[in-house]
Amino acid sequence: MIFLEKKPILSVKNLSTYFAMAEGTVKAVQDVSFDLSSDDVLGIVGETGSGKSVCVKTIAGLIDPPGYIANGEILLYTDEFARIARKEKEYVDLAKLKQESFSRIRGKHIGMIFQDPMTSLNPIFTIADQMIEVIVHHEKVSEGEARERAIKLLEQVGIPKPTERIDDYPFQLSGGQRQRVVIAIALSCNPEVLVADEPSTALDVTVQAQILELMKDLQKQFNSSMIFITHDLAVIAEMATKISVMYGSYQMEVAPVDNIFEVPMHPYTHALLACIPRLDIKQAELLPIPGQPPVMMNPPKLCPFLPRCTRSVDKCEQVLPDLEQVEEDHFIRCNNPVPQKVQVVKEGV
Amino acid sequence: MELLNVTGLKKFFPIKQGFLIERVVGFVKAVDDVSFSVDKNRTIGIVGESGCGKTTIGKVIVRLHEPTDGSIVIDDLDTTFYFLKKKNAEKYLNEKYFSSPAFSNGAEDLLPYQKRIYDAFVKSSKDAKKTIDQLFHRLSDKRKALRRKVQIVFQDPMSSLNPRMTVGQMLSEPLLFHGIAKTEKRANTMVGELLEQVGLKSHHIDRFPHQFSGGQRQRIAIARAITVDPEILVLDEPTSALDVSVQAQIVKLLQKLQEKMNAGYVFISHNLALVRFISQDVSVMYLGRVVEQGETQEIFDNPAHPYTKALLAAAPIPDPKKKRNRKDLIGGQVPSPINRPSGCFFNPRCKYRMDVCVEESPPTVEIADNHRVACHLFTSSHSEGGKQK
Repeated sequence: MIFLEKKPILSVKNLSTYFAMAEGTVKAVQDVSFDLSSDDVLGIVGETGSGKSVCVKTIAGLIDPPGYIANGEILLYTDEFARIARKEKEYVDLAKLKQESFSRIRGKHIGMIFQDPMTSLNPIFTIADQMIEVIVHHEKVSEGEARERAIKLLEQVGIPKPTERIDDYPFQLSGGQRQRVVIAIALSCNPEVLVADEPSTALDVTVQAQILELMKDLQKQFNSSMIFITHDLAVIAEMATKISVMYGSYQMEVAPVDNIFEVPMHPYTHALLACIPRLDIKQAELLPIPGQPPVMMNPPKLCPFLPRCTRSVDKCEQVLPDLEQVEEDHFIRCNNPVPQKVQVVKEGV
Repeated sequence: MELLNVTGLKKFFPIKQGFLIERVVGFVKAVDDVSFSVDKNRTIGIVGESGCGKTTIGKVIVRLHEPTDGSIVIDDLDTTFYFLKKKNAEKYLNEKYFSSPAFSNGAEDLLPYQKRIYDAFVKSSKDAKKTIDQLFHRLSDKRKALRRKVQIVFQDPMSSLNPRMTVGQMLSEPLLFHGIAKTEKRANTMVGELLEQVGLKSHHIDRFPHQFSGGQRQRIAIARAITVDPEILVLDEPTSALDVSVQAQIVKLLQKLQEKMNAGYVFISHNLALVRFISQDVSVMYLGRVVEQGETQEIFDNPAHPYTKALLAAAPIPDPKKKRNRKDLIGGQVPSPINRPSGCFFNPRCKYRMDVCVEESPPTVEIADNHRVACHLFTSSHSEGGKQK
């Protein structure tokens, strides 16, 4: 018997997205690669301007001029464009797809959840209008059937009395409920890949906890893989199975979640973990990262963390290191990685 | 030494309706009966979700809002009436002092700040009108002095710094206004020193806010607040608009400055982990009221109020091995501050709800040394409920 290797649903290879501005080229995302298998949750963590949002927007085909894909492939394993007779799944390169064809992918195979639910829902249409539109666009169902399905989805995301609430306008719902509706829309066509861009940042902590718990449950239930973007390391620790740490448009470290938090090897990941205040332990002090985040206008082709790095060596001034594998599933981009013995967070009295 | 004492603070915003003839149809009760104090060199953290009134407290302390009720004592001076119209000030002083039983009893055990006003009262031969005139004498100077004592740093430095002023203009204005620097030249040198203190360079003096990054802008906002060497610094979410790596820099800077100035900090934040790190005392607020208050260590180690527990359970922890405590999580959301629930405001979301919680609002009880909680689980008649958990 042939051993069936698990094929990744989404495979991103050397993706670069640039923005051609009058002042010069902004290299927002450079050389990003990752594989996403079903039931994987990839967390992309990074600071403002690290390119994490642009990265997923590129994957969802939401980059408009002056932005463009400069390089790379986004391979989605799908049967959407296969000949009707064969219906076999194949890899489609989304980077080369035309906008018209992309609307067959977006919403159906890639669902999106954005940060602020008030701006991602249209204020002048009811929840029903917005949910039915998506379902009818992608699948051969009548409006009545779509409505039934929408109500069932609202129930699944925990909206009380969905048969009544479905005819509400977004302003009639609270922030947490709006985000639940957005999640329901994203899941309505059962997408293989769910992209969540800071879905809980605009919410209060108690509501954030509700939304995160819901997303974890639904991800298991719908069995879709997820890309989860956040700047909050604590949220990512809870959600992700593997993590990609981004800084200044590059991936700095990609590893399973436990490795990132226990044996991080990139100096940036290390510094990041040491500078967040923690609730579970009493810290003696926070160790800030000196300096400012990089400006992305015409940066030198060197490690973006170099000006703030404490472990820089001569080699760093000359070449940009590649994203190299150091152990199974653990990749880093660094000339002088931190030895794994070094303790990450110092506990205080 | 106690720098700031807030007692029974209330701030209600009227909701007006009608065109031409406006009438008040209700109140947004943003802050309702909050008391706390800040000592020299100490930080009190005020935590809560959005809409709990934490920002309003900060604004009332620096008098961007006038309190509806309650008193604010700064440096043993009752400053509550400083910015009121004379008629309202008279009313406040009469209620609080001249017609109070303590004043007619001859005042043995008055607090120092009450004693000051009592002395003025005696001096003007126990005539309330005369005393008020005396208190109002040179009030503008007193106001000015108060502004020097209390300063604030806001959340978003881009909107709190004037985009059309250079850093030099922004920082030298308070120096000249308060007469800390007599000449502009002297002011400029002092601004240079201030910039160095907050980790910027003195040649940044002629730059505009847009030429700085977010973290640097917040440093400027902090520099502006410390120009007058305040005793109390209100920090209203000073790091929530910043990235984590920069947040740690700002926190470190604030701690360094506190050591130097011996100031008392009021640190307002929704980030529990940050409050745990920076403050010695903490007040947890819900819908305008303090539900739990005390020493930080004690509150975080032994949270008593169900809401505090829920907040702690909801905050994610940056460690994949530690799972959140699902048991204490709560559903629902914060109710509107216009139509608040009866009794304890937390009762619709509370797991331990009893009949009494809907009927009466819980008194604040001291359950341990420096640990106060407002919950019926801990009031004497229902203490069995508290033990059951």
